[in-house]
Amino acid sequence: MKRVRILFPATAIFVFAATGLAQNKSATAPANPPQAQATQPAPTVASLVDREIGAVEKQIVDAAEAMPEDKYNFSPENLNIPGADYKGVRTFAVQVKHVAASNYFLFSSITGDQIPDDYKGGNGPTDIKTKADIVKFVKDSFAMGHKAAAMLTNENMLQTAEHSKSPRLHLATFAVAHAFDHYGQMVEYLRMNGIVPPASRTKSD
Amino acid sequence: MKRISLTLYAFTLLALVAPSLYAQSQSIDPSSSLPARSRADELLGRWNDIGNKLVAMAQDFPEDKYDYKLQKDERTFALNLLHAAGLDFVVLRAVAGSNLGPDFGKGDNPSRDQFKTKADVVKFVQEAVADGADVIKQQGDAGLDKTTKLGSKLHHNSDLWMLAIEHSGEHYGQLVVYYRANNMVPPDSRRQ
Repeated sequence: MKRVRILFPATAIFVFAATGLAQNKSATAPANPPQAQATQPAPTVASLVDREIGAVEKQIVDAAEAMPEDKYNFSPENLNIPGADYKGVRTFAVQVKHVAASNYFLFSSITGDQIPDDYKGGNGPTDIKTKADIVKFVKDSFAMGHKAAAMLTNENMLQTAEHSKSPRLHLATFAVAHAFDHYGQMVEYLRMNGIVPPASRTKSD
Repeated sequence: MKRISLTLYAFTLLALVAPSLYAQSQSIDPSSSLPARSRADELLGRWNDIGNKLVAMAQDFPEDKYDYKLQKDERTFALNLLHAAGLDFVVLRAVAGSNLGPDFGKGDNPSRDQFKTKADVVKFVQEAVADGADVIKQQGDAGLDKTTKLGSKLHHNSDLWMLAIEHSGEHYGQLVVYYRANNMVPPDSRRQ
């Protein structure tokens, strides 16, 4: 992201705002880290995971909406950057679809929802092509994520999901981590097209 | 590698053989790390997973390309790593209540003036990952439900840890693109 993005990225700002913990972007690092810690009523695991899903959902959807439709098939390969090797890498559209399809694969393992095979993993259905359809596809995948989060309890979060070999909490947090990886790539794709990622536009730099 | 379901195997195989599914970074194999035995264990897995990916990049990328950046308004490769690890230190110090790691001034953007060489950067990233892992292990599940004052607000420690993990993931994704711009395959993608 931008060089002058100081302490907390938009991710953090979103998470903290969502939790009523919004703070300024910079100069918030304490010179001396606090010593005292207190215990207060903990949020439920469902609410924690739901916030994480909501945070990455906002980043991904905002970035997807920021890319003009005529750039959706952009790949760095198009730029023919000397010395680069982007041959065969995902286009912007496929990055978004991959996040969505991965979400469906992972979250449906928690919810037990039956979804089409081409929704699960890989790059999603080939017939989802327009920007509107792709944005809807990824939004709907996160909706399943919120449903999955709501199903997490202290009792079941470490149990293997019925439709997977992984524990429920693991599936949910993996989905979030995976989406952030691809969000980072989408940020670069946006910048390669002269578009400042929405999360960076509110910075005062 | 743990057992992989038939479905997952099919996806993995498809990703290997289909150019359109060319993997830029991590796959969606959720069984690539150990199943959690506790919330802290799950968090530790996530922390180490992304942290070790950044360490691998730091060790792997040629030193003469450390100041490369793809666009003019971005951080260089080295500054991305320093920033990700810097935020890790801000979080882990706050949660631990002690000034672990080297002094790099205020904020989360350590200067290249302080970390001049590749070895300096690698060590800094390694320390951030290791120190964070130690704090997570020491505090366990109980630590996740505590709150820490950072800035002017109280935050649940679990939120702070996930913030750092997600932040690292975002910068990892950016560096994946830096890799390809230099005709290199990211370390994590070479295993696929």
